[in-house]
Amino acid sequence: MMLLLIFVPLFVGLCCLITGRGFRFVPFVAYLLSFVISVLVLVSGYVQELQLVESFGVSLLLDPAAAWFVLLNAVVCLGVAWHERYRSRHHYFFVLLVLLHGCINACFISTDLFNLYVVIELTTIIAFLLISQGMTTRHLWNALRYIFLSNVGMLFYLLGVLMVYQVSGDFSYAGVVEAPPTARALIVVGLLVKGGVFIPGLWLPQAHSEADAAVSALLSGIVVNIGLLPLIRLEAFSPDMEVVLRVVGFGGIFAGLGLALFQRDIKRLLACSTISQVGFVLISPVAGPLYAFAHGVAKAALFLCAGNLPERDLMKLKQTRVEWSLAWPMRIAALSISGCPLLMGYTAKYAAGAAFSGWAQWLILTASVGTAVILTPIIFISSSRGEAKRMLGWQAPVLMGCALLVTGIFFGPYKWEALLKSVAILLLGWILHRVLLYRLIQVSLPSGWEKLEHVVGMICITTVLLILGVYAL
Amino acid sequence: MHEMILRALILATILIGLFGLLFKRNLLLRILSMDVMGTGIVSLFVLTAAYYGKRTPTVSGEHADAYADPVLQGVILTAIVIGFSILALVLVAAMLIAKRFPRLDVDEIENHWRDEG
Repeated sequence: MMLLLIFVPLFVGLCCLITGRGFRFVPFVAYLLSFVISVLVLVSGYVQELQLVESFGVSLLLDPAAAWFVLLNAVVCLGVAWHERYRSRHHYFFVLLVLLHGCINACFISTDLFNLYVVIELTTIIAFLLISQGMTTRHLWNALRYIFLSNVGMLFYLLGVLMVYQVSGDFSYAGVVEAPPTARALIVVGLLVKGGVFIPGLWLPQAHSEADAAVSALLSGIVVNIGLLPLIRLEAFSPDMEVVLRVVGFGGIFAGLGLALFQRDIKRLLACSTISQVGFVLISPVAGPLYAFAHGVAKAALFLCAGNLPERDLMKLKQTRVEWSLAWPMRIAALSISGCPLLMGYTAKYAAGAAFSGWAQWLILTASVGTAVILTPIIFISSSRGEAKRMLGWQAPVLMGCALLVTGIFFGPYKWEALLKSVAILLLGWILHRVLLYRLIQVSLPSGWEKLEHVVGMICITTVLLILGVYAL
Repeated sequence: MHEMILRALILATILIGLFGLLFKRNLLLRILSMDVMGTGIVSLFVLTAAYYGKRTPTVSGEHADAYADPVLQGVILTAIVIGFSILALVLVAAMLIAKRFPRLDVDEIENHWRDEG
């Protein structure tokens, strides 16, 4: 059953590529299959493990944690494929999409260091091809930056894998615990670069905001998660890794929020919010998969809608009215990320907060208010019921909104204090937005730090700091 | 002793690649630096595989000799292929960018890639 998740999408993709037909609708078979399998695993709690080669720790594992990620992958791919079906897309887009789906499934269920390296690189290559689809200088340079940075990250990762193998003689996650701290730091940095967390993830705002809307939805919705699930799994093996990743996660949350406060461009705002949301996924391994699902679906819907907006500048967007059918999915998705009751984001935030006590809970509370502040302009987007033009763009975001609503209603903890707390957070966010954000949004940050060499330099510095940090623990 | 020198040289290769990646102004040279770094890491894998012996691990009737670790060599073969395909893709993208920015100067591209054309 597990192997179907990988081989059906790859097979479908190859068939479409060879025959050159059916590329718009046949891939839906693969997405629906992933959907059904992941729902079955989640409902039954069934765990399947497959040892590929006996003594080198190479294994596949499908458990509920992985199933959440596979479900996210299925929902986002379904939405994007449906959204793009009538656009003037080259048919390679759809083939690449189904191949990406298969590779990302493989990333989620492989639980050893080397298989993970191979499938992450494969995903990087396919994402590169997707980003560069437009073939203009803008697309190509963006794609080039992306593959450059992830390749540097993966080279660090590979060094770490070698050190782990030298000590433990296999590639299993359990071996990472015995490895020297340097190896752990290198592996973590590689995965942080892919996951877009904190300083190694600062390449993310430019890459995600300059890509096409559908590609941004894929990148922010699912591709960042290929670095997160392995990190969550590694956290479960060693306690000191958990401490380090919590620090990094909180750093990421506040760095993303701080950047997002100054953004005028809606896609950059969403990309900065991704940096802060992946931090939430990392800080609690138990609630992580749930949170990744809630965030991925909502963020993909937001990016898809943002691509259909008449204007990207938030200030100008305030003056124009947005089509009614476009505004509501955006509101639902933004409300979900800021933790409004009855939506999946509320469940996820509750689960993430439940793992902490004391001062850490206050940090989470501050971060939740911050999330509400930066998303307020999207929640209160002005809309009108114009009949001028039939829009086709609403269907996929509505589907994703329904996914958030259904899971949210199904799982939601119906406790008075939690409900009141989330409403209070939303209100406080709205007030702070009125007071604060109008002033901050006028300030434009210098953008020189986003140059390629600076981002690579920041990755190197983080590596050194992490190595020192791990030795200090 | 011999092995230590080799290891030091390989680490120097990786560092040289990294510095090239950080400080080279030309896109093509920067791509080549990335490849130098990759080559350094591949060599490190090969050197580590040969730690216990250099023979190929073939089955023979006589007493088994100290042989090189086949797992690491198999693994690094995959990484070489991946590195090669990434390099090819990056070079194609650089080739297309060179149509608009013939000098391939990173600063120039970084400042002007937003302008349509």
